[in-house]
Amino acid sequence: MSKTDALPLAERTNIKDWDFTNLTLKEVTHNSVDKSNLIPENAKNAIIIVDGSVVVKDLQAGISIEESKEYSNLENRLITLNKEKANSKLSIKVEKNKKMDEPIYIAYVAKERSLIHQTEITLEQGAEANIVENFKSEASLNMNILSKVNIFANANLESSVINSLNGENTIYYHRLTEVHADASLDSSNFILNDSNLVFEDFTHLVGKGSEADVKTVAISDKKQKQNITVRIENLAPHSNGNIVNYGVVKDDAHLAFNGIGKIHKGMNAGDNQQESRLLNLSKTAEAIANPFLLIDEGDITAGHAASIGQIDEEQVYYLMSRGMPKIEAEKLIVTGFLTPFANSIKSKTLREALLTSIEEKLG
Amino acid sequence: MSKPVLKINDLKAKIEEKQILKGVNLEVKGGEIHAIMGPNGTGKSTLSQVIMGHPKYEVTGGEISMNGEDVLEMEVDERAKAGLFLAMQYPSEIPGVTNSDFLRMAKREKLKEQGSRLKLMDFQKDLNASIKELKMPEEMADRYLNEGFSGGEKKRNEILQMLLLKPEIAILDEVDSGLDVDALKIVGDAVNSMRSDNFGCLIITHYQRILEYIKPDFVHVMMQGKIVKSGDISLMQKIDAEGYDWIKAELGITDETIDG
Ligand SMILES: Nc1ncnc2c1ncn2[C@@H]1O[C@H](COP(=O)(O)OP(=O)(O)O)[C@@H](O)[C@H]1O
Ligand SMILES: [Mg+2]
Repeated sequence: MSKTDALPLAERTNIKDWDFTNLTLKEVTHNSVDKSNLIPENAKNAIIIVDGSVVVKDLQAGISIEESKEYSNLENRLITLNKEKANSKLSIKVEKNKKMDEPIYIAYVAKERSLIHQTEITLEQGAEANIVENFKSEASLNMNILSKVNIFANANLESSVINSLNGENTIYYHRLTEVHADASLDSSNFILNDSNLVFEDFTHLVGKGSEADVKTVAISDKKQKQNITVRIENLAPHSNGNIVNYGVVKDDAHLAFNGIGKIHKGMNAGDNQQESRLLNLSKTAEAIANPFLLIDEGDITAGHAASIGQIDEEQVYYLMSRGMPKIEAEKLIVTGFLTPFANSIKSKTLREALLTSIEEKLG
Repeated sequence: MSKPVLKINDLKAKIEEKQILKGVNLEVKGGEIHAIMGPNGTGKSTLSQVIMGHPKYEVTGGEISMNGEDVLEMEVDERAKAGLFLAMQYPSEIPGVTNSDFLRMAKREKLKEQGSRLKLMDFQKDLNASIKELKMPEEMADRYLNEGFSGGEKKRNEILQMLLLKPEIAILDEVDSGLDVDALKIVGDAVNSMRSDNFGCLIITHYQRILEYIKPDFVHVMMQGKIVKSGDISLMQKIDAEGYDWIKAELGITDETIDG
């Protein structure tokens, strides 16, 4: 089997029989959408794409969009499938030295057909932007999403990806970010769906002095199976990567976090750290933290920490003894567990989205 | 409103196949302060945990009622809503949840039960007043619940919860351990401030120190998982002067623990 034919690695999860290829492919066009729940009311920059049609496009000067041209340079069977069948594309560019002081909100909505999407985000040299991408679905449709992010020299990107593609569906999400010299990525992934999912977030630190901070939170319940791989590679000297993963599992769910740090030969004075924290609320759920550090260079610092905890019966009892019903007590403990993650999120809206999801999933 | 009453009748309980409570009888009414004294390992904490409904203990006989309602049929939170409160000997730590968020949620649940709603301003005022009354540092409200609290801070925090939740019957399990004399007096004052016909209190301790600040109306001694002696404050004074040996002699036992 050639490399292109292989499925994503999805270490620790058996995805052989997942129905990634069962895609709903029909022609639909939309020219309007209910903006509420997709974009904040006061947003200055907003793009909404419904089943591949751009229905909202309000942008300040210095940003342009077009059909995407580039995606991942990595290959596997699902990326190939996306390239063949893509029915939704967006390329967004922030001009050289343009500092966007208002966030750019992008919503991708799947209404009637599978979202087979490609996004390309480019920050030209010295640009600065905060981009919030929200993936939403209104039906149980399988999805395949590719994303390529280029952060050129001295540019800074704050990126949030909210995956709330709900439904009994199968999702493949793949993102590759390249961070150039003295550029930085501060990224957070909120995996708050009901889907079976393979999520790959790869970052290549290709420029000297580049930095990436990738934070991911996932809450899996019922029979969900989720496999999340966050990988940061130091491909330049003096580059810093940091991975933080938080997960909560309940019922019969399966959640595996693969954290991969790779420091290539000659990339001295680099740093690559990762931390995974999982909380398992049930005896029948599976929580996996699977850290890898692959180091081919001596003059670096690297480390990983992982913990998988159970909910503490004593804590539940203590809270209940103060009059809280069991479900409220558990919610409070989970909220507390996720507090360090929530505190690292700058946006209040996103912190609230996380709390809402805790309410929904544990309510 | 009639006086609250907690009744315990021939209560037996075990943990992991080990019988600990071997027939406890006790009645605590509004307006009364009871003290249970006794050496370590005689079942005092077990009694308090069984009343509150700790899931690890199994009740093997007897009854508990609160205002005539069967407590043993209630979930832990329902017991709290029925008016019971336990200041625990070893309170749990809840990382990431601030003391004030927790207290607000607990108070909201309590008020919901009583058919009213929490007013944030009132809550904040009460919280600040109680923190002041207990001479706790203001920032205690913003710290994570019991996390990194010293022994004494945890005890005061238990009393803070009691002041805010206003239970009808409070059980204070060794709330005096880890407290210096100043703190003892503060806690004593706080408990005394709640004294009324609508509040009954059961103080568990193996020192008489705290009982100098909170004068009990009834004093009980627990040994071998039972209340073996009851009296008034003179019983406490005798224990203070002579220890427990004379009680053991009276009972004809040498080992007062539940293994005895
Ligand atoms: N979690 C437990 N597991 C096993 N035995 C226990 C447990 N808790 C208490 N016990 C037993 O019950 C006895 C009484 O404990 P406890 O009620 O804490 O006594 P006290 O509060 O009077 O010191 C202990 O000596 C111990 O033998
Ligand atoms: Mg004890």
